[in-house]
Amino acid sequence: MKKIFKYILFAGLSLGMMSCDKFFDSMEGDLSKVAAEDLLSSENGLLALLADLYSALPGESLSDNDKYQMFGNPARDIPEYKSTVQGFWGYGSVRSVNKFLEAVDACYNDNLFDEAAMKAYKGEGLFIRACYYFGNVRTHGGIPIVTESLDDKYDGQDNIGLYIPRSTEKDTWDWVLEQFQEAADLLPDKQTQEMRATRYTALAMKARAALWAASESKYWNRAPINNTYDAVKKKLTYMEASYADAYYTQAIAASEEIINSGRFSLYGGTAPTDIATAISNLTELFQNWHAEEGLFGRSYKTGDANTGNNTHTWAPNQFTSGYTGTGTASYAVTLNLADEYDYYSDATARTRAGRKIQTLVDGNEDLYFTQPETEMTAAKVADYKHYASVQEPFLLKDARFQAWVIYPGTTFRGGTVYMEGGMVMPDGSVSVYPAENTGVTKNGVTYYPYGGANEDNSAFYKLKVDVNSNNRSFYCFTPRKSLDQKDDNENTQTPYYDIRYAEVLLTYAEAVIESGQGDAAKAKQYLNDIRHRAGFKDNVDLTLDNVLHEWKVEFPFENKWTNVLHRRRAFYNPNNTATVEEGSLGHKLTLIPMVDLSGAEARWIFLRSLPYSATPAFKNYNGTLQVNAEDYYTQIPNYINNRIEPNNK
Amino acid sequence: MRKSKMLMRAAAIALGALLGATALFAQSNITVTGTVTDAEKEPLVGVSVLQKGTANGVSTDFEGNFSITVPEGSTIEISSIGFETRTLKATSSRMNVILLEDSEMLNETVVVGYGVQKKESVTSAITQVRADEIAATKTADGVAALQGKIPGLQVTQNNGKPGAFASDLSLRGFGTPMIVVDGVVRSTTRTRKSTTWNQDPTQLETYTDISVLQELNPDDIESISVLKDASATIYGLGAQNGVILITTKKGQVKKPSVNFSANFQMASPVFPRDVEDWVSFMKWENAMSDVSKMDRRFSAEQIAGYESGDPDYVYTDWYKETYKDFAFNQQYNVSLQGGTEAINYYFGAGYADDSPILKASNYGYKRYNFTGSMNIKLTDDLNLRYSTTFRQSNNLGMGDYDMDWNIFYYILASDPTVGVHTKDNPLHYSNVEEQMNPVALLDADAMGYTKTDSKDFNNTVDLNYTAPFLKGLRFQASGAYDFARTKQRTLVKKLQLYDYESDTATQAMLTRAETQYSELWNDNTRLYGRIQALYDKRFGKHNVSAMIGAELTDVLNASINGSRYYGPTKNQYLYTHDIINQGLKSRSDNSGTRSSQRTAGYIGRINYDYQGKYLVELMGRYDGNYQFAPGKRWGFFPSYSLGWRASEEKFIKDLIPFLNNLKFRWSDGRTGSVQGNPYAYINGYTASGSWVFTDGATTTGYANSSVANTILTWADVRMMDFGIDWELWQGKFGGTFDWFKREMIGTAAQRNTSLPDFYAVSIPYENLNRSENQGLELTLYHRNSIGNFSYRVQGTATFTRSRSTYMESENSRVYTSSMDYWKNCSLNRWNGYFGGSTYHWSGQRFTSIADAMGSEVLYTMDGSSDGNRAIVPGMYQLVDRNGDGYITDADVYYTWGNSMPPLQFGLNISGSYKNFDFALIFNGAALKYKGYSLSGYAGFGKLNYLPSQYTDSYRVAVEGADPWNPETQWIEGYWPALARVAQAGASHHATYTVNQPYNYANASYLRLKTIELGYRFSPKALQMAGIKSARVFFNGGNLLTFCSKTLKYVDPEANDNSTAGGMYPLNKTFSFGFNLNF
Repeated sequence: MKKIFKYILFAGLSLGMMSCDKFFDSMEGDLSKVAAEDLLSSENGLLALLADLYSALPGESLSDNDKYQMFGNPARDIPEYKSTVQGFWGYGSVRSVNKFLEAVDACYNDNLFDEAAMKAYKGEGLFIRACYYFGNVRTHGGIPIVTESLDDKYDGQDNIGLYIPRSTEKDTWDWVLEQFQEAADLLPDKQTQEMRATRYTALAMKARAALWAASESKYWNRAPINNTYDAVKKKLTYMEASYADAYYTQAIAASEEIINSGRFSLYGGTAPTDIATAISNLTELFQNWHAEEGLFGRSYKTGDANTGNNTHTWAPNQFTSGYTGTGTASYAVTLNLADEYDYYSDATARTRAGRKIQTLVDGNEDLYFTQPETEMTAAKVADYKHYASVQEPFLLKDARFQAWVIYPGTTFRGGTVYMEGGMVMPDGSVSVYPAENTGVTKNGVTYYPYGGANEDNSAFYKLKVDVNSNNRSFYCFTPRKSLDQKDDNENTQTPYYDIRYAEVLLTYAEAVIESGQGDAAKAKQYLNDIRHRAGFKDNVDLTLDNVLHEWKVEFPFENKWTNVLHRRRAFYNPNNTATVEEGSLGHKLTLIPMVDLSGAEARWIFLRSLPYSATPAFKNYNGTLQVNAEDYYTQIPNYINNRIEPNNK
Repeated sequence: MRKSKMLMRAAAIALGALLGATALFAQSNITVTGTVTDAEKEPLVGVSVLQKGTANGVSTDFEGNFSITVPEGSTIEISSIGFETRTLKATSSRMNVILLEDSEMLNETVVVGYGVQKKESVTSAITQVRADEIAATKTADGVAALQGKIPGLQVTQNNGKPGAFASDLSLRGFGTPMIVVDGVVRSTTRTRKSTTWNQDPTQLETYTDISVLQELNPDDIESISVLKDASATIYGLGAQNGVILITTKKGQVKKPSVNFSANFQMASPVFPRDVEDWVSFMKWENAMSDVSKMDRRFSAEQIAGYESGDPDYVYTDWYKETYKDFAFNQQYNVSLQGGTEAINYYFGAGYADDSPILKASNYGYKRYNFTGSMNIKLTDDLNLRYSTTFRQSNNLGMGDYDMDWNIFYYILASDPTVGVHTKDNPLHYSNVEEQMNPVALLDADAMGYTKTDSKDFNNTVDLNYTAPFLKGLRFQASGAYDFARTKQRTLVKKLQLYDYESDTATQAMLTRAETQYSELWNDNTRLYGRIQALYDKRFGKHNVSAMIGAELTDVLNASINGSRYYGPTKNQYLYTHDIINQGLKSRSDNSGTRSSQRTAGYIGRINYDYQGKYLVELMGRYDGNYQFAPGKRWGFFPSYSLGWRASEEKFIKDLIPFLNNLKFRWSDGRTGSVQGNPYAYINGYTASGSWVFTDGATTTGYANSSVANTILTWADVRMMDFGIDWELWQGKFGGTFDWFKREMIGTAAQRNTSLPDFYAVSIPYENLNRSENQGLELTLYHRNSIGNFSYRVQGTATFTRSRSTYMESENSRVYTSSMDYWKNCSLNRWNGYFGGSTYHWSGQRFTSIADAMGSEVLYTMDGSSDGNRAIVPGMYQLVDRNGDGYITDADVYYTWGNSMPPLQFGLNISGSYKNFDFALIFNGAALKYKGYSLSGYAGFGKLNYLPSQYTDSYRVAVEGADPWNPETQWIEGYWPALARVAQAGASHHATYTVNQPYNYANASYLRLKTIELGYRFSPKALQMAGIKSARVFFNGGNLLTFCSKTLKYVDPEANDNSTAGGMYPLNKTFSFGFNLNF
C-alpha cells in the first residue's frame, strides 16, 4: 500500500517536474549486455575483450590439416591431397580488435591506466590484428586493410566510407610484418599470464610470416598464376623472386633476436642420456605447457573438467572405452610418414642410419601391394624379413617417432596396442585380413591374426563385426602427441603449441640456407640442436633437404607441413616442371604386420600395402588430380558486395 | 518535456474557458420529495433524480429518499445503473417510485478508456458485454468465455488441454489486444520454459502474458469493454491491436447479499472416436497392402484367431488404455456484496478444477481466485476504493514438452499385439514401438512432470476527490501494485522398458534420455501510478467533459532457473527426490535474468456534444517508452472522433417515428507499435568466446556484435473506423455496422542494401515497412417479448484481412516467372487469400486400375518416379492446366488459405419464459480451408487404426481379389482405394499427397459453443430457508458442430495443420449447476 502511494505521488510529481528522458535514465538498463564503460574500467574487463580476440585467432588449434598430406584417413575415404592452409576472413573480429584498440586509446586519454599498461594492451591488440591479417593474406593474397571500426560510416545512402580497396599482396605482407614489429616494440618481454603475447611472440610470428613471404616470393615461379587474371595484373595475388631476400633478412633478424635473448630453449635439453630419456622428454612436452619452449599457444586447462581439446578421438579404438562407435582414431598415420623418421645406428652411437622400415630381405622397399589379400602368397613369405617381435622394427627409430606415433606392439596407457592384419599359418598358407579373428596356438601361446584375442584390436577395418562401423583404422599407425598418455579422458586438457622454440630455430636455418644471409654455422648448430634433443649425437650438414626433413619429423600433428608446402608453392603438380621433391607424393601406404607361424618360432613380417579398400587416386578439392596454381588462393568472399576484385578471374 | 508542458498549458486554458462559460438560470420552482425502491420494496440508495434536460439533480439517501427543487410541470428523470429509467411529471405530492431491474442495464453506460460514457454519446467502435453473458459459457478459460460474444474478437481454441489456455486471441485480425483490468494495463511480457518442439528443458522464452484475462474468475467480472478503433489509442504505445477493458465487481449500496454457485461438468472429445475394430482393421490393412503391392501384414490364422477370441490372441486397445470416458471438471464460486454509502464491499472466492480426458497423472489444472473490493467514503468529497485480486493456479503437465505432442501419435501408432506391461511382470512397462509406451508416458511416477504454480496478486487503489468549489470537477489518483510469481518444477525421468514377450530389459523410453530436475522461479512486479482531473458540465445545449492525466508504469521481471542431473552418465543414475539438492552438483546448470520496463504518458481528452446530436471527441497522448534511444522515446499521438445522432433530428423523428436510434460515427486516431529489442541504442557487449590466459582458469570473452541502433523507434499506427448504429421499434431490429482500417507505417526492417564485409555487423533495423488491415463488422439484433416470453437474438460477423503494402526486402527480389511471383510474393497480397494451393480436378474419377493406367497425363507431382503407377481407383483426375502432359507443381491452383479465417461470425440467442431462461451461443468461421494429406497420421495406411469413415472407399468387390488385375470389379465409395505406406519413413501413400477434393476440405464451420437452460425458483418458496433466489441450470459446451464431414479427425476450428489431429482434443461438455442468493 505504501508503495502504491509512492507511485501515485511519483506520477503526480512527474507531471511537471521532471524532464521527460529522465524518466528512463534512472532505470537499471540492459542487464543482458555489458556496457563498454564497464568493461573498460577494469583490467578484467579488458582481459574479457582480449579473451574474445584471442579465441578468434586463426590458429589451427588441434584440427590438423596435415592429415591431407601425411596422415591416412581412418575411414574408407579416398586419400586426398589438397591445399588446406587455415585462412581467415573474419572482418567481424577485425572490427572487434579495432574497437579494442580505439578503447585502449580512449582509456589512456581518460587516465584509466598508465603508459606501460597502455603499451602492453595496444601491443597485444596490434599483435592479434596482425595475426588476423597474416591468416588472411596467406590464402587471399592482397586484401583490404581496415584499421578502424567503420560503425559510423553507414549513412543509409552511399556508405562510401565502407568500401575499402585491396592492397597489393606485397604491400599487405609488408604491412603485416610492420605491425608485428610495432606490436613487438610495445609488448613486454614477459607476461604474468603464459598464454598472452610477449615481445618474443610477436617476433616469432613475424619470423614465421617473413619466411612465408620470402618462400612464396622465391618459389613463385613453381606455380605461376595466370597473368591475365585481374588480381594478378594488379599484383593483388602476385609475388616475385626479387622480393625474397628482403623477407629472408627479416625472418633471420626476428628469429635471431629471440635466440639471442637467451630466454628460450628446447625442453629436455640437447643431450639426453639415452633414447628412453629422449622419448620421455618429447612425450612430456605435449602433456603440459613448457614455457621455455612455448612462445605462444593455447591452454586447455580451463578449470572445468568437462572441457578440453578433441584429441580424445585420436586414440585407437582399443583405448577409447565407451566410444567404440564412429569417430575414434580420427586420424591415422601413413607409412609414408613413418618412413621419414631416421633410424639410430645403434642405441649408444645414435648416428643417422637409414629411414625406411626394412620389410624385405632384398631391401627393395619401393614395392607395395594393392590387393594384399590375393597378391600375398605363401611363396612370398620367404622374401620377407622376419622380426622376433611385432615392435622390433620401430625400436631404433627416431625418439620423436616413438614418442609421438602409436605403432604396432607399442605400450600405451598400460596396454599393448594390437595392430596386425593377418597370419602365416603353421602349414605355410597365408591369410590377409581374415573375416574372423580365429586364434592359432603354437608353443603354448595363442596368436591371433589381428594381434589381440578380443575384438578390441585397433587396426584393421576388416573384421566381420566392423562392417557397419568405423571402429578401426585402415593403417597401423595413429598419432600419440597431445593424447592423454594415462587415461581415456574425453576432455583431454593437453596444451597446443602455436609457436615452439624449435620452429624459431628451424626458421633461422631455412632462411639462412635459402638466402645465403646470416650465420651458416649457427644455422647448422640450430638444425642439429633439434635433432640432438631427439637423441641423435651426430651432426648433419646444413642443406635444404635436411631442413625440410626436420619440418616433417619435428612437427607432425602441428599443422606445419601443409604450410611449408603452401608457402614454398610445392604441392604435388604433375604438370608443373618445377615440382620438387618436397611436394611430390606417392600413394598413402600402410604396413600390414603379420605373425608367421610356419617356422619353429613365431616371427613377424610386415607387408607394404595400400590401405584396405582405398582406391588409389590423387584428388584435390576441385576434383582434379593436382593442386593448381589457382588453388594457392581461395576466392574472395562476397567480392561483389565488397566491391573488390575477385581472385582467379 | 517542453511538449508536455505546452499540452498542459493548453488543457488548462481550455478548462478555464469552460468554467468561465458557466451560467445560471432562474426559474419558479416547487420541491418534490419521494422514496425510490426496487420491486421488492428495498430502498435504493444513490439513485439519480434529475430534472430532464438540465444538470439539476440529486441522489437518494440511505433510506431511498430524495428531495429536489424543480420548475413546476417539468419532467423528472429517475435513473440508476442496473434499473430501467423512469420519467415522471413533477408534482408537489410525495412520490413513491419503484424502479425495475434492467437486464440491458449496461447498454446505458459504457466503460471507455479512463472513464465511463453514456452509450448514446459514444463515437467509437466499442462493444461491451455483460457479466451474465460472459458467465454463460462454463469454462476455466476466460478467453474462451468470450468466444462468439464480441464482434471482431476472434477467439480460436486450439486444444482442450487443462490449464493450457491454448486460445488464439485476435481483435479484428490485428493481433492480441492489450488487457486492462480496473484501469491498469495488465498484459505483459514474461519468461517461461520454452514450449517449442525439441528444446532443451532449460531453454527459456518470452511471451505476452494475458493470463490476467485467461485466469480471471468469470464470476468476478462486472463488464468487459472492447475498444476496437481509435478509442484504444488513449492507452498509448502498444494499443495498436485494440484494448480489452475488464471491470471487476465492486461494492454496492444495498443489504448484504451472498451468492453461491456450483457447476459440475463432464467433458469428452468433441468428435467421438469412431474406428474399425481390430479384426476389421486387420482385414482392411491386408487389402491396403494389396493395393500397395506389399506383403500382407496379417495371416489368415491370425485374423481367425483374433476373430474367434482365442486366448492366444489378445490385443491392447491403446485408446481405451489411455482415454477416460469423460473428464470431470468443477467450479464453485461464492461472493458477498453490500454495504452503505459510507462503506460498501464485494468479496468473491472461486475454485476451478479441470481434469484431463486422458488417464494421466501428469495433466490437470486447479485454480483458486479471491477478489475483494472496498469503497470507503473518507469525507463528503473524498472517496477511497481498494480492489484486490489474488489468484493461485496449479498446472500439471508432462515433464518433457515434446511428449505432449507425441502422446497422441503413440496412442495411434502403438501396436495392439503388444501389452501395456510385459507378460511376466505387471510392474514392467513394455517396449511397444520406437522405445515408447503411451501408458507409461501418462504416468507421472514413471516419467516425471512439470508443475507450474502461479500466484498473481493485483492491487488497485483509487482516490476520488469531488471538488466542492467547482461543480463537475473531480480529481482522481490511482495506483496499482501487482505481484506475480510463477514456479515451474520439471522432472524428466528415465524409464527402463522391457520386452513384452521375454521381459528382458530393452532400451529406455525415448524421451530426454537422462533424469533431470529443474526449477524456474519467475518474479514479476508492476508499479503503476496515475493522476487525473475530470470535468463534466452541461451548459444549456452544450455538453462538455474533459480529462487530463499522467501515468507511469514500471514492470520488473526476474527469473532464476536451475537444474541438475541424477547421474554421472546416462547409464548410471539414481533418482532420489525431486529437489535440486538431490541431483548431482557436478552436473548442474543455472541461469538468471532481470529486466525492467517503464512507460509514461500524458493523457488528454475533451468531449463535446450539442444537444446530444452532434458529438465530438478529441484525444491526445504524449507517450514515452524506455526501449528507444534518447530523442526517440517520446511521441504525441492525437485522435479524434465524430458522431451524429440522426435519430435526434426532428425531421428524422417525424419521418421515421419508430426509429429509436440512428448514429453515424467516424473515428481516426494514431498510436505507436513498440518493436525491436529494448536498449538496442546501447552498444553493449555480450559473452563471446573464451581464452585460458593461465592454466586452470578460463576467461569468458566479451564482444560487441551490433551497432548501436539510434534510428529505430515505434511503428506509427493509424486506426480508422466508420460506423452506423441503429435501433428500430424499441429493439425489435437493431444493429451496428463498421468499416475499419488500420495502417502501420514504419515497421522494423533492414534496409535492402548490401554492405561490405568490412562493416562486419548487420544493418540496423529502421522504420521501413508498411502494412494495413481492413475489414467490415456487422451486428444485427432483435429483442422482443411476447407475453411472458422475452428473447434476444444477436448475430455478428467480421471480415478482416491484412496485407503488406511496402516490403523493403521485395526491392531486390527477382522472380523467375509469374508463377514464382504468384507463389512467393506477398507484397500487396491480402493474407489468407492465397495461403493454400490445390490442383484443379476434372470431376472425373479413375474408376479402375485400367482407367488409371490409361490416363493421358502423367502424374509426377510428388517427385517420385511412381507416376501413374501409384494412382489408385477413386482418385480424381487432375487437370493439366499448362497442357504439358504432366501433372506437376506448375498445375497448382490457388485457393483460400487455412490459417486465421478472414470471416468469423457468432450468433447469440437468449431469452426467458416465466421462470425459465435459456442461452445459445454459436461461433463459426468461413473462407477457411484445411489441406490434410490422406496420411497414415490423419487416417490410415501407417498406424494401427482405421477411422470408420474411410471404409466408404473404393474397394474390390470380392474380398481378397487382386486390385491390380484390370478385370477386377470395384465398388465405388467416397474415398479412393486405401493403400499402405509404400516406403519406410513415409507417412502416407505417394498419391495421397496431392490435394484432392476429399482431402482438401472447406473448414467453414458453425459450432454451438454454449447452450444453457436455467430455471429460477420463485423466492416465496425459498424464503423460509432464507434464500432470496435460486437457479438451477444445464449447460452444454461444443455440443454441435456443423462442418465438412471429412474434418472429424482434424478439428475445423483449431490451427493444427502441422500436427494433423495429433493434439489434445477439444472437449464437448455437459454441465449441471446451481446459483443461490441469500
